[in-house]
Amino acid sequence: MGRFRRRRCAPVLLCQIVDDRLEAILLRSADSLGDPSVEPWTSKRPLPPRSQVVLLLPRSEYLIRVLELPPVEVDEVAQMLRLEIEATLPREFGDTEVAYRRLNGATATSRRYEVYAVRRESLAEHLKICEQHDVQPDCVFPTAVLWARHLGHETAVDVLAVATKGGNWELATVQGDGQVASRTIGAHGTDAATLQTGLVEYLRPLLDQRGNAMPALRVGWLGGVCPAASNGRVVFESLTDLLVAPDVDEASSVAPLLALGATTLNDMQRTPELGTANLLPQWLQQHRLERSSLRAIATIACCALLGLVLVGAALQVAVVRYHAHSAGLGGRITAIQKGGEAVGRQLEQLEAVQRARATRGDLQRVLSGLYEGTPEEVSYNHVELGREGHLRLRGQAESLSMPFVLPERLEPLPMFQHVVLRDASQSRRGQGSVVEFHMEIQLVREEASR
Amino acid sequence: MMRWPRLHFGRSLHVREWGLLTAALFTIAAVLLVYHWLMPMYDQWTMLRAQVYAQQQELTTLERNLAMREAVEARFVELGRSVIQSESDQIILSRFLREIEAAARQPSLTLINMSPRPIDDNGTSKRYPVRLSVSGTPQDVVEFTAQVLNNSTVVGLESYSLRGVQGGHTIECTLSLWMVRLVEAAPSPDVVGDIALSQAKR
Repeated sequence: MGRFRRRRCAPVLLCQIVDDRLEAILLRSADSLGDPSVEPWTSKRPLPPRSQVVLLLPRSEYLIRVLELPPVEVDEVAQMLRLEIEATLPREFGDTEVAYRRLNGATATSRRYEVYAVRRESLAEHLKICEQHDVQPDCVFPTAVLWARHLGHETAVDVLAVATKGGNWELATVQGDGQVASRTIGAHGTDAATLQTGLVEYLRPLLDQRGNAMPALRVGWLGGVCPAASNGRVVFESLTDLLVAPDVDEASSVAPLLALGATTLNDMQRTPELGTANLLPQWLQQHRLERSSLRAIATIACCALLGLVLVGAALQVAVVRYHAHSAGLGGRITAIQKGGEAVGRQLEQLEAVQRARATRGDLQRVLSGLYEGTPEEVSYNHVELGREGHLRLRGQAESLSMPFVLPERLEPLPMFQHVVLRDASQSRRGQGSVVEFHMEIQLVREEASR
Repeated sequence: MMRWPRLHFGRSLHVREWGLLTAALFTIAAVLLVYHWLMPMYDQWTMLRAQVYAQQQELTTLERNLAMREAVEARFVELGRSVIQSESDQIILSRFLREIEAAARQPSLTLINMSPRPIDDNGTSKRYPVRLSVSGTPQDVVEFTAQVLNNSTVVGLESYSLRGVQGGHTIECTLSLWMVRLVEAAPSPDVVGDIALSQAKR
């Protein structure tokens, strides 16, 4: 048994099997502005995303037993109930799926449960029909869950009579501890006599239990025309107003059982104990989960492979295009290679000549610049020009102040830049003193300055 | 008695086994795809891209060269044949040294030392470096340098050092010069063949 939890705001497809047909309604949750909406659904329409599917199992398909258990862990309840109920069932019944609903009247030593058992084969047939209509139920509820919910909370009636599949009727009542007593009457569509007989047979024991002093037995009527007759001990009431009804014109085509189920599911957040009444086996849910995971893995793998193939195809296209481009470039290069390389060689030679000629005026430019910018009180005893046009000067001056004037006088000249006085000092020599300095200048060559 | 585990061939696989099988098949397919198809193709694509880039660079250079052909040829005409290497290195170097000696033959100028350096050949041109020292008046040294640098050949001045000689008005100058000679391109095999054929006919 898999516990069922209704997702908030998720649409629910509520369905029942009627003679190999699937009858279904789509229940959209209420939002903050309005009521929940119900609309008929056919398997031709796609289900909205995140939809949950609930299948209602009629009373004729399952058994109800009331069992008592000592207080046990919640997780162990289902297993213990299964063992208990399998012990009470005949071997011919075969494999079963079990769900339960806890009843009132717990004591310190025992808990009471209403257990629903369905033959696995019967459940499988229902699920197979669902699959034929592309529907996978997330939950299979016995109809007793609906009776318990409505007779216990929603209505003030004592008996509920609801038209179910194939013209059958389900009659149900709830006892004081919440236990459901229900029965199916086969009326075969319009056979009113059968219905009446079955109804009388069902109501008589109830009337006998109540006695004459009690008020009249109120029978809630869903589906078909509500009987108007009343003998003072039985009163029939139409419950159509209680249901979440469709707004569309097909209202009349929605089965009463589904409409009742929609009302139940709409309030399910308030009755979480119904979640244990799911007859859908957990292994099946696990199997579906694994299948969906496998499908996701396979899809991802296929997408990844497809991505690789696409990358490969893109590379292939790029390679072909580069090949063509390269061939075109190769042809153009071959056509002009000889002449272009010859000119390139000549250019290199001209550059070599240019480099040589650019240095021809270095000595003259340096000397003329120094003559122009040097005051008479300064003389040079060493001038050195390096490969990169780096000029180093050593000289003497009559006064220590003169070397400091030199950068300002040489810097404005076009052939010099970055004039830096490295050091200047006055030292004793013989009877007098001598001022010596060291300066560095960057020579601006004629070609570079153009 | 110990029982050997039985393998059940032919039974349908469980979902988990299908998942593992799918993952394994995907991994194998992906590895095969990547190693035998994608990576070689990626390498080929990378190589081709680099090749095309290099070809584009080369084409651009060649086209630019061709666009400058006329200007370059005009500059070559201006240079004249004297800068073309038409003799052996020894003869060219000897002539250059003789020109320097001739320029230094002045009464107030002394050629102190002179030494040629190893010839630098870069395929398109050759450099003949010479290092020399002269002493004389500044005027004479400047004139000597100008004469050496501005003769008919192409000569460059790599570096120099001027030093005043103590007790006189002379200076000592150490010069590093180089002369440039352009190397003519070897004729292509077709041209060589044509020349040989014409000589044979004669």
